[in-house]
Amino acid sequence: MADLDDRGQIILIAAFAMAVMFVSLALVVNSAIFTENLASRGETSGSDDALVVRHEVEQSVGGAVAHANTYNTSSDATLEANVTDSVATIGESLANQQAATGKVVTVDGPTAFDHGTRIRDNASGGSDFRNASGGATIQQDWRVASDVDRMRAFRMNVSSASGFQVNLSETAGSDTWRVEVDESGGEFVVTVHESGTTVGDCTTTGSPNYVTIDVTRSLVAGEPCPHLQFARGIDGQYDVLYNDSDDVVGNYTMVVDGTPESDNLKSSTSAGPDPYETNALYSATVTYRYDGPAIVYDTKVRVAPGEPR
Amino acid sequence: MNRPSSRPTNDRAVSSTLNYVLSLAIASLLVTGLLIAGGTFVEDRQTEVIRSELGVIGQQVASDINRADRLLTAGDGGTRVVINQSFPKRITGTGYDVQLNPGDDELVLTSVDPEVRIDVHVETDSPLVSSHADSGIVVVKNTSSGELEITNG
Repeated sequence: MADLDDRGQIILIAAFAMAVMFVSLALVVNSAIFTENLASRGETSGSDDALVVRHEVEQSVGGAVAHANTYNTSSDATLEANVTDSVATIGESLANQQAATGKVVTVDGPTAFDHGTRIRDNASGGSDFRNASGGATIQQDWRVASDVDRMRAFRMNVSSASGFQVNLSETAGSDTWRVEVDESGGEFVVTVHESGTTVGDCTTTGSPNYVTIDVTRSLVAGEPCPHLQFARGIDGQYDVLYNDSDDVVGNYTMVVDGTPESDNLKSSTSAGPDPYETNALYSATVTYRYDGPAIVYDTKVRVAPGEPR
Repeated sequence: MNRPSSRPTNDRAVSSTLNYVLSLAIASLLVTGLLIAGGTFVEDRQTEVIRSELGVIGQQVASDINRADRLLTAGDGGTRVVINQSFPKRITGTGYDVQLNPGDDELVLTSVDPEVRIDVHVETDSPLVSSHADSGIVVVKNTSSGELEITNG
């Protein structure tokens, strides 16, 4: 007969083995819970913030470029110096602002500039859009610029119009893109044509006294106009022409990277009733670096405010 | 009770010993069965948890690759992107490694023991380069030629 003290050994061993099993099961379940935790982990690296700050840099430097193009445009060197000074200030204030949340942001430059020409008619109270009486006769159909690679910040403020057209035509090819501005019953109608085919139109609501048309940003009276896709269908360089420019009253401004038709434009930097051209920066490229706890982003940012996307 | 006189006397008290041995055998059988079933259950759970954990880690690495791709696309030349994220060294008691396979646009995650393999699809604008990272901190960065790769931090 076995000793009574030795009884129940199998149950004891079994109990021990099952205890070990339960502990392993607990570990496994714990890992499963951790997996859920990992799965719900959102954006930890800060890449969204890096893009937000990049956008801020683009906006701020864009403001500096637009400001430099508006004031003191005496020479390309002056424009560059003004933007360079502004970028230094922007870099400093962004660095201070971001340091508060533990990020190091560095903005330097600009490392490169693209020069262009700003063409503007800002006659007080508005004027028609005919050319200046420089080297050419005043006409209603005239060429604003030729061999244009790019164009940005083309805005018009129109208080009355009847069939005025902006034409873009390919220098080498035959495709055209046209915007026509009309006024009927107090409403302004902006119609877009591509190579002779009407794409569609956008109409202002109510009876406004004037309408702002941001041609390169596809806005009519501040509202997005889906038909107004700047230079769609145009490949390569193009010429910019105005037609029936005596049938419109208002102001306009644009920055072109191309050859302005100087015969049709005044060279004066002073405001006047006729369109004039000034030196302008088309774009500036700055370096941007964002250092976060789990991210390094180092890139260049090309800034051309109002350029179509 | 009368017993036949021919029955040998050394057969006496056999039934209690037999009873003891039989109950011991049955108890061991039951306990062994219970342990085997329990062990298999735990192993199955472990494999499942490793599978889901590899899936989650794969998705996290894939979104890091997509974030890097987005930053790279937003840049205007001369761009450098480095994104790191820390993951557990061991998942449910096993190590694992991550392989970026540009041919199939896939991340392949493999655990060591038990061996579980998970494929996670990655879709990017920037080209990917065949690269490998062990468990721990996984870094996504771009190479000098603008390709995205994974490595350890």
